[in-house]
Amino acid sequence: MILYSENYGERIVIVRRYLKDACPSNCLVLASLLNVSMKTKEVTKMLKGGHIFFRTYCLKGGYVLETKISQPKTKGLVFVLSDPYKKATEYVFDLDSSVLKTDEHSLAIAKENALSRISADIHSDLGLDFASPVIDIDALKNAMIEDIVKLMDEFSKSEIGDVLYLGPSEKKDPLYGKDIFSKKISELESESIKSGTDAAKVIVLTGDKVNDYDSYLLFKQAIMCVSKKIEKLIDSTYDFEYRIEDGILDDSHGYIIVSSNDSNLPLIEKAVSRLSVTDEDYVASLLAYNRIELNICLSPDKAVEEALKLLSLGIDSKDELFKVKECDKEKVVKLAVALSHSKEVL
Amino acid sequence: MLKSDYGKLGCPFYAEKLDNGLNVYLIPRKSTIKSAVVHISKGTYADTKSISFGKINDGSAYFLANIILDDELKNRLLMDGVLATVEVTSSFTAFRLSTTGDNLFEAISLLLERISSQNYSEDEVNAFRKLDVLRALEDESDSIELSKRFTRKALYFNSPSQNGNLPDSAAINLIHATALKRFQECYYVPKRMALIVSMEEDAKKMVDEVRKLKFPRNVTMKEDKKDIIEDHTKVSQEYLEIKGKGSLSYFTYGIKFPARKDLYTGFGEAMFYYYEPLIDLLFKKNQSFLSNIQDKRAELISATLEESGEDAHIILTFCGDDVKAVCNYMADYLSAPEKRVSSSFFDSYIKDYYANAMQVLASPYSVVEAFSSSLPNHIAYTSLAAHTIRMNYNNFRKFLTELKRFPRSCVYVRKA
Repeated sequence: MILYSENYGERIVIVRRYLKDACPSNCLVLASLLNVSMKTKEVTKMLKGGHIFFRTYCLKGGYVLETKISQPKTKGLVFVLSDPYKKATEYVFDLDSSVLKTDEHSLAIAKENALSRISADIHSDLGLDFASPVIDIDALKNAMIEDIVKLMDEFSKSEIGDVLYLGPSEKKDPLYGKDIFSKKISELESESIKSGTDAAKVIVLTGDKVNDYDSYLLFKQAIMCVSKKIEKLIDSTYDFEYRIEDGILDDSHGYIIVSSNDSNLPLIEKAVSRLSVTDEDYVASLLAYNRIELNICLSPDKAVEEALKLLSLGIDSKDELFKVKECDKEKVVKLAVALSHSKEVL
Repeated sequence: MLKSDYGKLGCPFYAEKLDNGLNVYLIPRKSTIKSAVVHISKGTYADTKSISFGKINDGSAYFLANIILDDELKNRLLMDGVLATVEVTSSFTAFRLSTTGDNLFEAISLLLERISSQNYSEDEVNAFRKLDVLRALEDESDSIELSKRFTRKALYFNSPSQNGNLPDSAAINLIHATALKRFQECYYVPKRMALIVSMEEDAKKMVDEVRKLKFPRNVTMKEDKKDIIEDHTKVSQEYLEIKGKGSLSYFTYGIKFPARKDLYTGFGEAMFYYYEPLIDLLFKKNQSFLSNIQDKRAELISATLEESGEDAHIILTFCGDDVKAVCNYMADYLSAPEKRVSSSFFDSYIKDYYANAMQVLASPYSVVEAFSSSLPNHIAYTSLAAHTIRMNYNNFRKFLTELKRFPRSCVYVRKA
């Protein structure tokens, strides 16, 4: 997917490689070891103001190894990407285990960094897309370099993946014709949420299939509308601390997660049972929607996050991602009402 | 309109002074974002004793900014697709508006309407006070904030810089609506304001829109300043140890700069260019410094250069227990600061700085903020960036040599 925007002053190229089966601990060590391996004078010198970063996360029931390379657009300096991506291809597209540092010290640092960055949360427990994988700490500590190298080779050979370019318009193809994957991640089936957790109630909403950017935005705001209503119901009845978040699960499902102490979960379920969305709930959803959409336009990180969600769903927003698009109030409320009727509390 | 263009940066801007004294900066950028900053050249640096014979308490600038841009106004703007935020530093207050719609000037107009009016009562001040007391109490029990706060106090004898940026819980209770209204009448006036606008539009068209806006009236008030007698050659306290409430120990190391006028005499405007890379080159990105700190089983968690009035200081906060080892190392490190930054590190950093500046300049959202931040030193951001990029290594080293003479303080907040 190619998204042109002058908003951020940088070129960002992301390549995602997908494996259905992999050891999550090894995935985490691999991403960490790749980051360690890139910290050489040679790479730093070549990148100058640019950055290269690797991470791994859950997606569509498998694991993604993501490479992100970003470079500010400047005049007069020779950066790795300034000659349209010739050198970058070595790092981004033709990545294989030969770039890995395989000495014990580098592996130890990689493990230490991976351990300090473990961010498993409720998203991980639910196996949501983009969540950090749930890992076995002992397995991470005992990860062997041979297994990490093997995993890297498996990711390199994977024919499932996708590519994103986000940045200023270029005369030439900004991806240098490197469509290296025969199967796109968006073609894979999404995983459904099977149950809530001890610390959260999950409300799954089902709507019509989202097939373009406009229907995606409408779906997004309608889910927010239901979420805001649930917030209102809890606030008006109870006085306990909770956290609520919402999102799109796949092209026809949304989710709302309400987390709190386990003793409050039955009360949350009770509040949700009284769910009924009206016109009045639109305003709160509009505020949330506008804030999120504006932040996507203002922050390159948020824009990338959103672009990757769209890429996973196979929706091309084109340049519309960089301008807040209003959704029709009546349509939002109508869809939110329909979604609230479809709710399934886990 | 005066056009300024630092070619390599590819970001010309236009400046205009309106008849009411308002400085306007217009920065055309190719982007879907449209941003503006209403800049008030008064921040939390509490050098005002009274206005029209009424006492002004610390924290007034911070309270007023948050009462003007309250949740009601923020939500009203957000409903129209405009994100509004306010930043209050020691030197200025900046209201920033951003949208991708066609209503930026309507949003500026709405904000100016609020700035021009004084439609708030003691009840609204009390409501903000109630919220802010929680923030202040949290800060006062946070070991990191505590170490920074006491370091500022240890650095200065008399300057308002010793009180930091945000009011403490005691100061919060002394702020009242009547004093805020006097403060607003005195400082929220065109002659003490600037408007910075950036969008994909011709500067001429932008200034025409600016001229249609309704600004507050210029009012001259009797402003009584505090007598600030500060000795910049020494600190009020070199070392202080206090018991914190957290599970980790933190310490903050402060470096007090000479009075701004004295540095200016020695280095001229270049002192501001030296400030730009100083913290990164000497501390934050200096691998040798960081690994030596790590060897002392400590970690640098923040490093900032703070400026207000005649004062400037560096605040370095560490997490660790062996404060003595780090202080000894710091004394040694700062005995020859000019030797800590190699020419190759300097060159490579400046290239990174240039790349970063280009990114800042690309977006209207970040460019208006950058211009606002550099206004207190009367320098346009593009000028600051362009001069920093051209900075000479040997001149920078001369500035570093001076640093060894600057007095220092350290405050250690021991874990509970």
